Amino acid sequence: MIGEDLLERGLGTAADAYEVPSDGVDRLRELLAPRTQAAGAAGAASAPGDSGGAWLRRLHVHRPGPRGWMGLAAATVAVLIAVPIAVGGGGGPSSSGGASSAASGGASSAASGGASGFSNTPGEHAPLKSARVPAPAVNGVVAAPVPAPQSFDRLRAGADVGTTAGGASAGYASAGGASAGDASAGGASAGGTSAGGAPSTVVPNPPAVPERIVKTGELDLEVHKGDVTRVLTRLTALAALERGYVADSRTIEGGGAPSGMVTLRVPVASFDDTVNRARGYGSKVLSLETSAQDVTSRYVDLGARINALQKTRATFLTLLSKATTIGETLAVQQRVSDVQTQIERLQGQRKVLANQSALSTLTVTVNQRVAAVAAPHHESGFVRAVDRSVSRFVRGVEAIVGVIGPILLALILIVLAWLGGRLGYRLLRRRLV
Amino acid sequence: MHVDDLDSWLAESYPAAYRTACLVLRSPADAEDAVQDAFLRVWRFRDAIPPGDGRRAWLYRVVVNACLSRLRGDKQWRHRSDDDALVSVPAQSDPQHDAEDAALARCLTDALERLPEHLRVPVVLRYYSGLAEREIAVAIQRRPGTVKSRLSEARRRLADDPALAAWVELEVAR
Repeated sequence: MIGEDLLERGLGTAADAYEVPSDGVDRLRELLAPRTQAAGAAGAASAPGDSGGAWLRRLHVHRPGPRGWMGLAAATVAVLIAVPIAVGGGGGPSSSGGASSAASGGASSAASGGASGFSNTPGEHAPLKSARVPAPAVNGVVAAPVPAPQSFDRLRAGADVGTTAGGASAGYASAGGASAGDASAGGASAGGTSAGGAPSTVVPNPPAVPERIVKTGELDLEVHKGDVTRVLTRLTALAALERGYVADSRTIEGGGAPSGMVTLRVPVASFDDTVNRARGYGSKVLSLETSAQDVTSRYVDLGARINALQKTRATFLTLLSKATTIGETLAVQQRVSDVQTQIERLQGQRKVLANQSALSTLTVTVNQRVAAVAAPHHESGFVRAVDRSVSRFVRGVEAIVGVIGPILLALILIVLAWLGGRLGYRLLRRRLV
Repeated sequence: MHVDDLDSWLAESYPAAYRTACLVLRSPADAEDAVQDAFLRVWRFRDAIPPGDGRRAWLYRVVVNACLSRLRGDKQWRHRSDDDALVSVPAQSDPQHDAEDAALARCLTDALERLPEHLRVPVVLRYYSGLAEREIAVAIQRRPGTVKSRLSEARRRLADDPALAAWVELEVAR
């Protein structure tokens, strides 16, 4: 053991080697000067105001003493006990993971509830409703724009009539009469449309000229396994029910997934109803495409031109009867023949238009549902191994996240507790010092 | 305590407190900061200064706490102190000092550097500042028995220190 006097001598010498800064005390006095004056003014008993600098110095990090460490340990234990209870809702530390997942499930269900609340449809019916609602909306979107171009085209048609008619105004007048004759049938079909179809197709002011609308649609249906033939039969029955017919029917058998296709021709008035019914036959609508084309103006135009040509033909026939020379007769006959050809061509066009606008076309494709999971036995061993390792990796990440989440929470709380303990320790220490 | 009395007491305690801090911290710059910090704190809590002889121990308690705050709180201290220590090795230029004492002082400060702080601080307070064991107990906030055991442990370790071995033998020979 080293001697005390040796220590005293050595330490004294070592300490003397450190020169005491001559201005150390003066600097202290400078720092204290305002406080001294304040204290002198307020009296010795009053506590002097503290400056920010001293407070900043106070915040200097202190390592807790043994008592501080014990306090920190106690706080940590308390936090570790409290956190699982708080997270698990009293279910105990072992069930904290499940409880937290249940809590998150509750949160997500609450969120979805909130979402359904926004859609203003109560509870579980929300998805069904939302799935059904767009269907008429789609039809409505398809059908609704029709009236506007319709009236526009009709106006334009009228303008065309006015400008191109020229001397044949009488012919056009009769053409108007002819189309008025169609008006009764067309009006009836329009009424049927408004009665059976979507309300959005109702036109407030029924037009004087009957509508000629060509409607076509393509519907892709997915049906359950083995239901292809049954659905095709039902579609055929639907065509008969809607007073239409099946224009084409094809069935593709064999292979993994049989499919079929039918082309239904149904009255235009029944088109929307047919589409809606056909949709319901499948388990899932893969795609639906409908179009409506207003051909009224073309129809009217064709009728007018046919009538004008008929008048022309009648005039030529009169001329033919008055022809005196062979040359005249041949020339007039040639003209009559030309006009006749034109009339027949236009009549054919009008017939097609009439047919198209009288009977709409709906092509339904029926597909058997394909298993969502690709057949794994077709995959090679390598692909399978990669798939398996990827899924295991994902599961591992999920598990790690599940474990780290609560630990991170606990760590944050421990750090907070440590900071609080340190602050408390400092305050206690300040009071003691 | 009156303000003037406090001022004169702090002024007269300053050199010893400063050198104590130097021995603990081995860095004049840090020691100056620590002592300034401690004295400001003494000023702020002057109402808590115990009357009579107890105030010396109380003052050293504040100084030691300020030093320990620097040692523990400032992670950069270790590097700075090494640089400062090279500068602050006891000066031999002072002709009044015996060369032997200067060598002893250097060996002792090196040996102290190797002591843990819980042993170094009592040694400095006891053998430089001249505090009694009871006062050291107040200063480091430990029981007097702990101070006694720490002091004896520190002296045993210093005797084993190779830097001081020659001095111990010399002392025994005398």
